[in-house]
Amino acid sequence: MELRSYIIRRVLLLIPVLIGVTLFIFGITMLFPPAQRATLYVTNMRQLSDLPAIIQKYGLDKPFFVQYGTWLNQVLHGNLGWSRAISMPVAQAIPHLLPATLELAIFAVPLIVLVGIFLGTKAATHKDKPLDHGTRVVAILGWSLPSFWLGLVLMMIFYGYFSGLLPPGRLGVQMDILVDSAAFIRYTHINTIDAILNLNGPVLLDALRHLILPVMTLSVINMAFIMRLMRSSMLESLGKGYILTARAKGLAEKVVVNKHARRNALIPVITVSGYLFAGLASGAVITETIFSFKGIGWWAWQAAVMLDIPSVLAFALFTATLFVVINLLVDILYTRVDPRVRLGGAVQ
Amino acid sequence: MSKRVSKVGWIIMAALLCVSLAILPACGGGGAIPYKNPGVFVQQTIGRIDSLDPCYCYDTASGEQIYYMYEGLLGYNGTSTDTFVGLMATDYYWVNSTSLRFNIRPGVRFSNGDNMTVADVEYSFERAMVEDPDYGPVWMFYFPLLDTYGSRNSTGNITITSAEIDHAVEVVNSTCIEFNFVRPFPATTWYQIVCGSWGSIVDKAYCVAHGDWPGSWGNWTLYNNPAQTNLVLQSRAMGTGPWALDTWTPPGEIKLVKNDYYWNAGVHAVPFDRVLTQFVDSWPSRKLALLAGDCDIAYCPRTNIADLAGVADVNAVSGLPELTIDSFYFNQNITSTTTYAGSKTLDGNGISLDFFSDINVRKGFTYAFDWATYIAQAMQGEATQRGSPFVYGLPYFNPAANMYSKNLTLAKYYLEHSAWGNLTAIGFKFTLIYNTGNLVRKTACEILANNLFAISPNFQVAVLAKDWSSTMSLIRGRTWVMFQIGWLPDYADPDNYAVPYMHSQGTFSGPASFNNATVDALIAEGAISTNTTRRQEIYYALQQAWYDQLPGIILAQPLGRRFFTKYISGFEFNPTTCGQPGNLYYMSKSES
Repeated sequence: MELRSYIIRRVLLLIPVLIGVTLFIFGITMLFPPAQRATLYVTNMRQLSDLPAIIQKYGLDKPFFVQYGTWLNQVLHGNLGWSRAISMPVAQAIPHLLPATLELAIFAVPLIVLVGIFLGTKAATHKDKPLDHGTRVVAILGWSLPSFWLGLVLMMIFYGYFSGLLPPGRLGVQMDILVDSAAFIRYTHINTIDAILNLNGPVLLDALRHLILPVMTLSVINMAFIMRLMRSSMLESLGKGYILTARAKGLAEKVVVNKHARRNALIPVITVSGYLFAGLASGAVITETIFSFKGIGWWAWQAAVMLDIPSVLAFALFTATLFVVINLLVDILYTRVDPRVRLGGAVQ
Repeated sequence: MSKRVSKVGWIIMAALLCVSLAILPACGGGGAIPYKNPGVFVQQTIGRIDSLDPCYCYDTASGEQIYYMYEGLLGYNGTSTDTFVGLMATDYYWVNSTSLRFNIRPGVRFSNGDNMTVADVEYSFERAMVEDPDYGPVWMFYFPLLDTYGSRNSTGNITITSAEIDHAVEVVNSTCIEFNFVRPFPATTWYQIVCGSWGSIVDKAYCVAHGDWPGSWGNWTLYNNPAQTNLVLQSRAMGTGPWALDTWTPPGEIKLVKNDYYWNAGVHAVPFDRVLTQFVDSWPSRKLALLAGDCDIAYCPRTNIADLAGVADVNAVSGLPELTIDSFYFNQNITSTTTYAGSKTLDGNGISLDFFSDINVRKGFTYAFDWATYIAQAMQGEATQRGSPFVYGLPYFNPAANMYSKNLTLAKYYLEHSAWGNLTAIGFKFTLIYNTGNLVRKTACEILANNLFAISPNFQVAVLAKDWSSTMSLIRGRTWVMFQIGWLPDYADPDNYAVPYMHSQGTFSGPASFNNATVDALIAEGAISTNTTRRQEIYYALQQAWYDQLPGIILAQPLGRRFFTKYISGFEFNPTTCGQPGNLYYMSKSES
C-alpha cells in the first residue's frame, strides 16, 4: 500500500515536471526571432521569399503563451506535431527511433555497470597496489577520451584497417534487406532481440558485429566514472565498524567484501547507473552520429540544429518522463539493496 | 596528488595522439576494395528525404528517389539539358502556339501491375495543381498554364476555378493528352519543367484507393494545400520507373526494389535488383564504407577530396560542370536594426545603410576579390570563374561575357571616387557573415576582407560564422551587409536564374534592394518569349547588365566530382539530375 501510494505520488509529480520542462524549452526557443524559426519550413532557396507567409501561417510571431497554449492544446488532443527533422509525425518518430537507442543502452549499460563495479571493487580491495594503479590509468583514459575521437579511432582501426571487420550502422546490406522482408518479423525493432525471436543466427551475429564499436565507445567513457565511484564507495564501506566486526568474527575476506562491504557500497552506484541508463536511453548523440546508429540522440541533435520545436519539445517530454520513471525505479531498487530504506520515509 | 594525475593524463593524451597519428594514415585505403552485394547499388550520402510526393517534393534528396521510382512524359537526353527523349510520351507536337500534345506510350505499367493510361497522366498534373502544397514546386505548372503562381492568394483563399485546371490539361483521346497554355510559352522550358520530379506520372487508381483526390471536381478544394502529414504519397510511391519503393526508414535509409513491370526492361534490363540510399552524416564513415566495398558511391565534401586521391580501386570522375553558382550579394538598403554595419554611418567605424547603392563602391569591392586564390584554395582548383549568374550549361550562356578580375589599383581608384567621398581616407567597418561550417564561403569572405585591408588599413571587415537558420532569416530581414549565397535551379533555363538574381522581386535581388526597371522588363519578356533569337538577345543583355550594374560578385561555377568503386560503370553526368549517381538506369555493377 505504501509503495503504491508512493508510486502514484511520483507519477503525479510528473505533470508539473513536464509542464515546467516544456515551458522552459519553449521559452528558450522563443529567444530566436520568428524569421529564424520559420526557416525550419524552408527546403529550397526559392522559399526564402515565403518566410513572412510561413511566420503568419504557423503563428510564429504570436505572444509566447499563445504559442505555448496552441502547442499544449494540440498535445492534449494527441497531436505532438510534425517532425521536420525526420519527416514524420513526432508521435511516430519516438517509437520509430527508440529501438536503436535502446539497443545501444541495453548492451552498454550492463557492461558499464558490471565491469565498473567489478574493477572498482578490485581497485578498493587492492588500494595503492598495481591493480589499483592500473584501474586508475584506465579511468583517466576513459575520462580523457572525447567520444568522437575514440569512436573515429576505433572505426578507423576495426573498420578501416581490418577491412570491414566491425562496420558502423545497425546491419549490413544483406541482413538489412532480410529483416525488411516478409520472412522476418519485426517484434521490437531491436535487431538482436528480433533475431533471437525469429531464431535467426546470421541476423543476430550481424547485429552484434555492428554493436561492438558503439557499445565499446560508450562503455570506455562511462565505465571510468562507475569504476571510480565504486572504488571510493567501497573504500568508505571497508573502513566502517561493521566490516571490522565481520573480520573479527573470522569471516572469509571474500564474504566480507562481497556480502557486507559491496552491498552497502552499491547504493550510490545504483543511483548513478539509473541516470546513466536514462542518459543513454535518451540518446548518445555523438556515438549515434559517428556510427550511423540513428536513434533518439541523433534526432534530438538534428531537431535542435534545425530549430524543429515540436521535436525538441517532444524530446524534452520524453527525457523528463524517462528520468522520473528511472528515478522511481532506482528508489524502489534501494529498498532491495538496503532494507533500512523505506519509501516515503527516511533511512531508519 | 591532483597535479600528478593531471600530468599522467597529459602524458596519456600525448601518447594517444602519437599512436593515432601513426595508425590513422595507415587505416583505410591500403588494400583492394572487395566486391560486395552483387545486384545491389548502395549509395552513402548526406541529407534527408523530406517527402516522396512528387507534387510536394522540392529538395534534391527526395527528388533523386522520385526519379528512380517515377517517370514523367519526357526525360533529358543523356548529358544534354535542352534535348529530350520520350518516357511516358512517345512523341509530342504543337497544335497551335498555345496547345501542346503528347502521345502516351502504350504498354506501360506501374510497379503494382496497373496499366498506365492517359487518365493517369491527366490526373498527375491536375492532382498537382489541385493539391498545390504551400511553398512547393507546382507554381511551375501554374505560371505557363494559368498565368498565376499558385492556386491561392496571400491570405490563403483559392483564386482559381476547377474549370481552369480542367482546361489546362485535357485528354484528347485514349492515347493523347493536351496542355493548354494561357499564352505562347518557350517550348524547351516547358519540356524541362515536365522533366522535373514534379512532372512524375502517378497511378490514379492507387492514389484514389488511398484517399487522395478522386479526380472529380465536386469538392476538389478540400484537397487543396494538404498538410504534409496528410499527403497520400508522403511515404508511399507508385510509379512507372525502373524501381519501386520497398521501405523508407527515416532518417537512415531508403530501399528500392526492381520494378518487374518496367516498360523498357526488354530493351535495356534494369541493372540493379535493389537500390539502397543510406544517409550517413560522418565523412569518415562514408569514406571507410567506400573503401570497405560496403557502398558503391560515397558523397565526398569538396574539402575532403584529397582523402581519396590515388586510391587504386576508387574511380574519381571529375570536372563535372554543375549548374550552381555561389556569389556575394550587396545589400543596397540595409535594415536599420542591423548589428553588422558597425556604427551604421560612414564615419570610419561603420557603413551607411545605403553604402552599396553606389556603383563605384560595388566596383571597388569586385575588383578587390581574387578569383584565382578562391578557386585554388576554397574550390581545390575545381571551379571556373563566371561573370554572371548565367552559367555554362544553360541555353544562351555567353562564353564571351565580360568578367571582372582582381585589380587592387582599380579597386582603390573606385573606392577613392565613390559617391560618399574618398573611402580610403574615411574608412569603413562592417561584418561579413557566412554560414557555419561552410569553409568555402569562409575563405571567400577572408579573401575579400584581406584584400580590402591591403588597399587601406582603414577598411576593416570582420568575418563571422552564423548558423544556417540565422543566415536565412538575416537575408530575409535585410540585416546583412553582404550575403553569400548559392542557387540550385528548378530547371535549366536562364529565366530560373534571372528572376532570383536580378528581378526586383527576386529571391536574392529583392532582399538586396536591387531594382532596375529595364532588367525587370527584359526578364519578363525572356520568360515567355518563344523566339529563340530574341531570347538569346535578352539573356546576353542580362549578362551584360550584371557586369554593368553589379548587384553582386559572382564567384565561380563549381566542377563536381563523383567517387565510385571500380566495380561501377556507365556513369554519365547531367547537371539537371538530382543526386550523386545520376541516371542509375544506365549504370552497372560488375566484378570484372
